[in-house]
Amino acid sequence: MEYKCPHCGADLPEHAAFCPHCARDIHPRREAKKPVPLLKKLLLGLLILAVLAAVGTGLWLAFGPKSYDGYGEVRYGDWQILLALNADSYAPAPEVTIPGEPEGQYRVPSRLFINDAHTGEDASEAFLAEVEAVTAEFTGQEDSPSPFVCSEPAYNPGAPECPLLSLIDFTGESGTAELVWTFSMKNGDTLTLRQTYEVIPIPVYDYYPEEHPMDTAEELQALIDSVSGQVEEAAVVNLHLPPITYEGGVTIQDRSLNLYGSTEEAGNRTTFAGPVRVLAAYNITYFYDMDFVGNGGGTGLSGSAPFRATNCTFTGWDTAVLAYGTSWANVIGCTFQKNGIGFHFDSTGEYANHSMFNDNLFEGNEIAVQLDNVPTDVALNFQGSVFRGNGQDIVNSCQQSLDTSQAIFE
Amino acid sequence: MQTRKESARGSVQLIRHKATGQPFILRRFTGNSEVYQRLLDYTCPNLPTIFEVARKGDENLVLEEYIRGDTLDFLLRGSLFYQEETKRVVRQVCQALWVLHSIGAVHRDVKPENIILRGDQAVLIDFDAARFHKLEAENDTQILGTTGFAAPEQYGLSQSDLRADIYAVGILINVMLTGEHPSRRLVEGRMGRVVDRCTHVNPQRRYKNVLRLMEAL
Repeated sequence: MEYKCPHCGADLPEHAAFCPHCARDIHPRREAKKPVPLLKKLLLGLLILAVLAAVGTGLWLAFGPKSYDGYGEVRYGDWQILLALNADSYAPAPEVTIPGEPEGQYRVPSRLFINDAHTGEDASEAFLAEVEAVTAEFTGQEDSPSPFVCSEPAYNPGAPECPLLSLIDFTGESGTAELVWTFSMKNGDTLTLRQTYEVIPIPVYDYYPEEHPMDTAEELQALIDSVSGQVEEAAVVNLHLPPITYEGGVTIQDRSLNLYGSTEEAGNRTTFAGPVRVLAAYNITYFYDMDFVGNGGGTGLSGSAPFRATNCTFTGWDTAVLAYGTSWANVIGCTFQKNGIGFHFDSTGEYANHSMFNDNLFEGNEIAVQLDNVPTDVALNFQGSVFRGNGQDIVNSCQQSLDTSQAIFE
Repeated sequence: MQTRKESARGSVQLIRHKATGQPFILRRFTGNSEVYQRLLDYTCPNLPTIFEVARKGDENLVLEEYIRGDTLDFLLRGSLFYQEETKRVVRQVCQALWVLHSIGAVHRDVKPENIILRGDQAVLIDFDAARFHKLEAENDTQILGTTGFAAPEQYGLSQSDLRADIYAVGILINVMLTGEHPSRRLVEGRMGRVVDRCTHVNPQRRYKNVLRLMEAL
């Protein structure tokens, strides 16, 4: 069989591997494999694994779900997500320190705000559209005798400025714990927002009639006025009043304090025949177990600052209870009889601290409840309250949201 | 034409192609040329390229690449090698042996005269003594290889396999570093242990293959 050199064309024997005419190799060859020592193989394998791991990690970091974590606030894309204590949507509150009485029960809101990081505008709608689920829980209070409790994040009409809030319930003995909001995003990312809560025990000062003169309205006023100079502002002051009738009224204006009435064996209770006014705005002023008895005119209990009356009676006033200025007031378990107006809300404040107006008796008033201005849209809940024989039960001129589903109108 | 080597088994000649002037090595020898035949299919920087193999009866003619350089034997006459240099050369010899072993062949004559240093490359030459390792054979049929570098099994103790080459590489390492056979003076230190392992009388105790030896180096 004819066989020719592919380089020079010379005739060659059939199985020639070399052309003697042009001295060129004509045999197909392959390069011998180089030996790779086991150690080198191992190292190479490890290197490849390391590279693959690095590439995998890089891809995961670049495209995988990410976690964001922060105290008070986190930045997520163009959004600033923050937890605040008050209505200031730009003030993150990573640490919340709240004074609390040992037996006091408290509720504060943990408010969520979402701002556009560039413009500062509210971006909550766009953000929440990307959220799959959101939860809130407290951690780090396994041994607490009175653990913090938080509600599931939800919209609350009491704070319409924020899209979600969680209500934090605690006592003066709750100590310290961490609130954790967790957002599971639709794209797999996880956002964790944290707030540290700490309850600082509040000193409590009790004033009893045995030790402090308070037998007349004048003495009581003098005591009220002197208390603010005697105790620190954060302290709780409880005045335990004797079961007597104060012919005049008193004004609480330098600091908030609590008035506790009492009842003697014969049935006489602590009674104010003159008007009581609350002007001190530092904290809520509480009234417990006392009577306010008027002579057909004036206002029994009024406040431009927050106050709350529990288990009190109001009789014979032109207006029994008036909340004005920026006050928020609650009446709970109280009796309103034969007044021009039983409870009058006419406050232009922006803050509500309690929605319950339960278990009251409104009887024989010209108007039991008059609502001209009420801070916030929170629904006033009259659960268990009885309206009986009033000229008008509720005059809701400001169209406030009300829950009277469990009230009794006779 | 220049005769480089001549013995009873054959000759090695340096020849030049008339037209191109290109140098080649022409080997004539009696025996088995199967290893050369197989090497026709490969190129390896540490082996000479085999261009043509012709056979008539027991007579073989092989045309192979001329490797320009000095043999290790020549270089060892003047001096010894440093340890790093020795490792580099021996690794390359191991690479050449890896090719032979991977086709089932044993060189059986690894020694300084059969290693040419071409620049920084070591090239293992002369496969006249090489043969294919056959599992069924009990021992080698002929005394082959070079005294001193040949493994005991090559003298008929057992059939020589690739570990016979490892034995020879062990001797080579020792000679490059000390100029002497390890039986007279074993190189000190770690390389001494490598040589010792390579030259163990029992092939089972030697490095299992050249890869293991390369790792040790």
